[in-house]
Amino acid sequence: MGMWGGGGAGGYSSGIGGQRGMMRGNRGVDGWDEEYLGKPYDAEVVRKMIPYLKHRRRALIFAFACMLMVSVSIYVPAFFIAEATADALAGEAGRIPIWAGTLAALGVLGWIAGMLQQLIMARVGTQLLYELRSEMYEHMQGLSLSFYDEMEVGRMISRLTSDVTVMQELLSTGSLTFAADIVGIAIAVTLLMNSDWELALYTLAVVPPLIFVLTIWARYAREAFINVRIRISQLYGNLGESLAGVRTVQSLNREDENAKRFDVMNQENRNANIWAGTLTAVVVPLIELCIAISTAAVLIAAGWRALSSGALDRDEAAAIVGAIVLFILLILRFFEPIRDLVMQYTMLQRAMAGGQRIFEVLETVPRIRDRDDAIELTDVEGRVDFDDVQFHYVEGVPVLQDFELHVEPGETIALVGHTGSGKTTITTLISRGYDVSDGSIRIDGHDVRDIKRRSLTQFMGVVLQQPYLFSGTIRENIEYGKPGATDAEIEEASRAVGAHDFISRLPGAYNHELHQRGQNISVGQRQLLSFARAVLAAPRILILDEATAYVDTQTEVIIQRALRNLLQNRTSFVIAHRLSTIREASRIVVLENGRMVEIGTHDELLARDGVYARLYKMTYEQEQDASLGEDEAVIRRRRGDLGDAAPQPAGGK
Amino acid sequence: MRIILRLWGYAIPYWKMLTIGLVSMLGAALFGMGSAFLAQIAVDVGLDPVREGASITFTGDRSTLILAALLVVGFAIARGISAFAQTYISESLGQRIAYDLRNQIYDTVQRLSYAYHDKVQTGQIMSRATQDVEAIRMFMSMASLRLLMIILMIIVGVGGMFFFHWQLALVSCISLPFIAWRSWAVHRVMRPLWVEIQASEARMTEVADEGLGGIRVVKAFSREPVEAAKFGRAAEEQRNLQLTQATLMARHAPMLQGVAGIQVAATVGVGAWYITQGSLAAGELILFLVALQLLQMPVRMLGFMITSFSRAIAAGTRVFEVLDARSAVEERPSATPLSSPSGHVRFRDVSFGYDSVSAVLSNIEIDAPPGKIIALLGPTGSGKSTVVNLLPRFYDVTEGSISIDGVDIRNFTLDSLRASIGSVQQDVFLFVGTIRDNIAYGAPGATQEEIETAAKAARIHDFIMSLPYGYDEWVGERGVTLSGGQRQRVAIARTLLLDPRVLIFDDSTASVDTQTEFLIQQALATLMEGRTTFVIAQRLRTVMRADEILVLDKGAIVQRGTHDELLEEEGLYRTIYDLELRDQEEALGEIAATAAAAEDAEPASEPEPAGLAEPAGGSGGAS
Repeated sequence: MGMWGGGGAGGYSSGIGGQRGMMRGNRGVDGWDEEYLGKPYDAEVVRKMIPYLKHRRRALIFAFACMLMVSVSIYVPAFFIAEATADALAGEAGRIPIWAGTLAALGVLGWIAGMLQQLIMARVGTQLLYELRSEMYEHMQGLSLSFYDEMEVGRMISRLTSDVTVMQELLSTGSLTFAADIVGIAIAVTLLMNSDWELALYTLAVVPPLIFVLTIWARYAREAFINVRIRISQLYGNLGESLAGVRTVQSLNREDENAKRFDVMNQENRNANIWAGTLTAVVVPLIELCIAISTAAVLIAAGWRALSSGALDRDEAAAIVGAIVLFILLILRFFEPIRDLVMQYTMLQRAMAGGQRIFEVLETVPRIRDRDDAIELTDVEGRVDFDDVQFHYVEGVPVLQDFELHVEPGETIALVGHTGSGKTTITTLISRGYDVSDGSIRIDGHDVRDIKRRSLTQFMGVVLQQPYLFSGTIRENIEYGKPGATDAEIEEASRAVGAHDFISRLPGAYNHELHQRGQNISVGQRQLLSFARAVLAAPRILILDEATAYVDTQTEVIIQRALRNLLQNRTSFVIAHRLSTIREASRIVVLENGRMVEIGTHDELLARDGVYARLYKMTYEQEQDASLGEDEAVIRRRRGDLGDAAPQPAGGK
Repeated sequence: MRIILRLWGYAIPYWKMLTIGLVSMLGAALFGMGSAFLAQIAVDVGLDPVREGASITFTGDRSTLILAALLVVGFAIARGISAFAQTYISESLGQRIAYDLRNQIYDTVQRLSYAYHDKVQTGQIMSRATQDVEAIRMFMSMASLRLLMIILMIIVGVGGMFFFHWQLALVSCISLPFIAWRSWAVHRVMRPLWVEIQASEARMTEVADEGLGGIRVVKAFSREPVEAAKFGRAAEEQRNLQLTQATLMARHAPMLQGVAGIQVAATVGVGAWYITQGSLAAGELILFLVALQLLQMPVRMLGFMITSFSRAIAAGTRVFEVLDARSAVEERPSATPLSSPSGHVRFRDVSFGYDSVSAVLSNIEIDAPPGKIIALLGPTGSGKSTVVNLLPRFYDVTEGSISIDGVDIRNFTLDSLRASIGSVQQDVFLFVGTIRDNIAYGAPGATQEEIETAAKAARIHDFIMSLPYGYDEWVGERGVTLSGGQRQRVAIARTLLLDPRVLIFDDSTASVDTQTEFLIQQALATLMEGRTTFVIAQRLRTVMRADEILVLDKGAIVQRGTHDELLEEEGLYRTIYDLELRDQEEALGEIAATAAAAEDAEPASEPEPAGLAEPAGGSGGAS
């Protein structure tokens, strides 16, 4: 459903059944602005585009030259037609074939030049945007995990797709049309002035008021078109949500209320569209009125002159009729570019906004970057040292404090504590998803910040709470961390985690195609595959983050067995809620509000009768008074989002 | 054609508008072509150049000239007004029909039973309500009135030319069929290409979604380059398709322009020759050229119109497929409302299958007296959720019957039945909106006081009050992201507000921390008070509190009884218990032991130690 909500300009949230959302503190710490609507000309965007255009200079110049020829082929014929008419009136039949031939040649010239210009621009435009798009994607992938925590994937995708597409429109059609329009107007004005400046002034008299009216029109139109985009994206958003939640809607008997609210949004959308349509409908008649007025002016002015002049020399008279022909034909053409310029105003604006968003992506700096002198790890034993590690996401809200831990190779460390106590943070810090705020983390004695991140993760394996698989065969998924593994290796890894059985029962076995995210197999099976993937990659350091939370009992038993295999001879960090896993750990680290409060084996900790023991002993009623683990964590994070802007809670009205 | 007729049926309520549209369309076509004639009249009659040997005298009179010139303006105004009216009416007609269609789709889809939604993906319905309705709208506003107008313009234009000078008209019209044919041919190729481009964009989006959504895995295995290459390929495919499309346009549009240019050359050449022959007036040549210019647009549009016609048929077929879908669950005409039931639920020999081939449930017998708790237990796929989905008639039984207070539930109106049954699903769906709106979702008119009471009972009030915006806090993207446990408590509050007599609680996931679990347990206790409750249970505490536990396997009840009874028996319950609940139990045992030890040292102040009766669980207890 994600695809539908966003529209071109990012998501517009609408409330339940359509009350407009008050815009709450924007979550994006990295500051991606979704509300930016763009100006018709944004010098900064254009400046940033220049490097991409530079090495295509020759193609662009050629396209521009072609475009000039197209303009000539459109606006100059009127002149030759007028000449032909004049000559015909004057009875000089001999020159007519020359004029007709010139006209035909101009037609062919416009044809070829137009085709060349469009072909070049199509090639340049699509290639350029392909490059931009690939660059954006690579850049996104290079951004640190902290960025992903705050950014919805949908917003990133909308930049990769709609924003780039809008730019493409501009490049392949818009930009040159603009230039062509301006050149066309210039040619038309020159021809008119040259032929008869007095008549030209009569003709052009209507232009200033027209531009004035169109400017006012453009302001309304801009608003109307933006409004249409907002309304339609709200409407589709509401529709998508209602569909996704249809079961809840039915069980809460909410159909009538929803239908009423949808109707309101639907009406708003309709009205916005009709208003925008009305504004568009006004333009054509307006332009035509101008054409008519200009034509009438020329007819009267030129005609008056002709009628007052009595008997004229043949050539003189023909010239007058020729001028009338020229003017009438040019007037027809003249207003077209003016109309186009105004109509494309909105497109230009959208493209600039799109460009602005694209560069915003490319300019987002990854927080975590390899140092220039970072080292490459070739082998890892698995010693992990935390030296007095401090960490916070937001200044003043510590997440991890004074964390000191030294892990020998091969040890299994269980991390225990409430949600928000810092368990996951610790595992993220090891793989350098974030950098510590103070202190250091060393692997085999090397500070993780001195190691190339690639070579660091190469020796690390992660199994997450929600297994993430990719579309493709099962084989491809298992060998994800070790491309080019042999069939025997893959099967061995699958057997080790007990996945082989179910895989061989699937049609195609290891070549069974998985849908996106592996949705055609069960969650448990997905988790088994992600275990197999981790086993095959044979990491020296393994992180299990509540890896068995979502699997059913039977699978869990299989995984428990697999786990033993997996943990052997590896340094591992396990976040688990299952006692059996925790009990088997070499050491258990108990966290509370970002501090390590206890450490030791299961038996030691129970004997100590401290926090760990209390976790089991304490009755919930007492604990409730102490703190509200998860709730507290969510509240803190939310207040952190808003920073100082956070108002006091507003209860009821 | 039936589809087109049915689509036209949607225009019938707007027949007045249509009539005005038709009239203004006629006006627009006539006045439009008329202005071309006026220029001719002005030159030929107003000026009336007469050639006498070497000199030409303009013998026209001023008043005719001025009259003709003014008429040019007058016609333009008349044409402007009628063109505006015609465009406005086309647009607004299309929008109104799209509006009607969307409302109908929304209404229909919302009321279709679960069986339909199981089969049809959200994306499919979305594309019908968006793209297909859009195609129909385009057809209705563009291809209906405008098609007539275009045909009319062509007839008037071409007819006029023939009226004035049929030889020159023949020469001038020679390119028109060619232009119309090329436009049509290109549109025919362009349409599937366009669909292909959209499909390719969807694929590219999928690749990006996968690579960015799974960034943790990608990074963990250092596979960024591979993912980037995957995306690169998708983007390349997109580029190639777009290039194909742009190339096609590049060959097409300038060609038409060029042909039009050559046509003008031919008309001017031949026309000028006729002028020298004296059989054509100068003004008439202008008329021909203006008419040629005016005919360009309608002739090119013809191709577009034809494709939009076939597109509307396809879109109409797909939209009507949704509108004609019948819900598998329908209200009987004689249905009566279920009012204030006591909540006695009975399943009698109930069997159910999604299709006629395989039964999902067979011979289910349940007797749930008012206020009792029935727990359902069983492995994934055993049919637990199906049992509870039958009660609010999200599906209908295939055999047997379900009754509330002795009356078959199929005799009640759907609204009243569902209003008396509340359900809290395991996957709580929250809507974009404030927390307040979400709690009041089933009762939009609830007062703040009622909402707060429900929230307090659901143990979520304190949490909400601590959020920066309290009850006005937005859920989701721009506001607070709620955890599974918090969502569940919101759902409990939502259900409490409705005060149903019968309650369904699907409790099968339980990845929450201890405190949250405790809060949920408390909330649940309040919720179940005095209501007939069906629980799909995972938590020991809930299971043990049940009045009857039903163990399901492969769609049949294999065991029933209380916790203690079932523990005695050899069977699935014991196995599940061993696998799933033992850990908890053991943890509780340890606690009981240490608690007992503590009590020895310090005589208990509480009469009842934390033991099996009110087990406390542990952080290892939730699974």
